[in-house]
Amino acid sequence: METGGFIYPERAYAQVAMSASEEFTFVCPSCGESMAVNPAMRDALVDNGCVVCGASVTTDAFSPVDAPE
Amino acid sequence: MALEKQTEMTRSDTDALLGRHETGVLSLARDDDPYAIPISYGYDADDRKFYLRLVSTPESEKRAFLSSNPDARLVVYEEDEPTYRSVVVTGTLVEIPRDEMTVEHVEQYGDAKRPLFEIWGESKPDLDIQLYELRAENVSGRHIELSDRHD
Repeated sequence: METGGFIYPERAYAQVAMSASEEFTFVCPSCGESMAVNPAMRDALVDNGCVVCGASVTTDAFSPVDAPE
Repeated sequence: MALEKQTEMTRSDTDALLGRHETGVLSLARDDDPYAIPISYGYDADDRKFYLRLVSTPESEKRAFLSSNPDARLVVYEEDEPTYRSVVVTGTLVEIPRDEMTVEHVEQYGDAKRPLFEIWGESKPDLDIQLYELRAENVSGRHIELSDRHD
C-alpha cells in the first residue's frame, strides 16, 4: 500500500519523543568539562555559558550521542 | 559626623542589596582555624540560595576547609554616603555534584561572575572547579545613616 509520504502518527510521536530525550555530549572548549546533557540543558548552557567555568559556549560544543541500534 | 543608630533592613531591601552585588567575603572555619576569601555569587531571592564556583588546586588551603557541608558565613556590604549597608548570611555550603546539575542550576550559575582564573598559574583544565550552593539559614541586613550633626 502506498503511503505517499504519509507519516503514521505513531512513528511521528516516536520521532518527537526520541528528540526530546536525545542526549548530547557537552565539552567546554575553555575548561574541558564534559557531561551528557539533554536538549533543555544544551539550550541553557548556550544561553548562560559553561556551568563550571562560566565561559561562553556555542552549539559547536555539543555532539549528539549515538542512538543505540 | 555622628553615627546614627543601626537599623535592620527589610527583607526586600536586603534582597535588593544582594541582587545589586556579585561579590562578597566567604568565611569558613575548622576548629579554631578561620579562613576567608572574596568570592563571586549568583543569588536566588525566592529560595535564598547563593551559587558559588570555588576554585582550588590539589595543594590549596581551601580544600581543607571545604569538608562535607561546612557552616559558612557570607558578608556583602556597600557604602553609599551617608548610608552604609551590610548583609550577613549564615548557612551551610553544599557541593553540587556534576551529575545532579539541572537547567535551573545552569541559569543560576549564569548570573554568577566567573572566577578570576588568571589568579592561578595553572590553565583552567588543571584547576579543580567545584560548584556550591550556600543554603541560607539566616540573612540579616543592617543599615546606618550618618548625620552631619556634632554632639
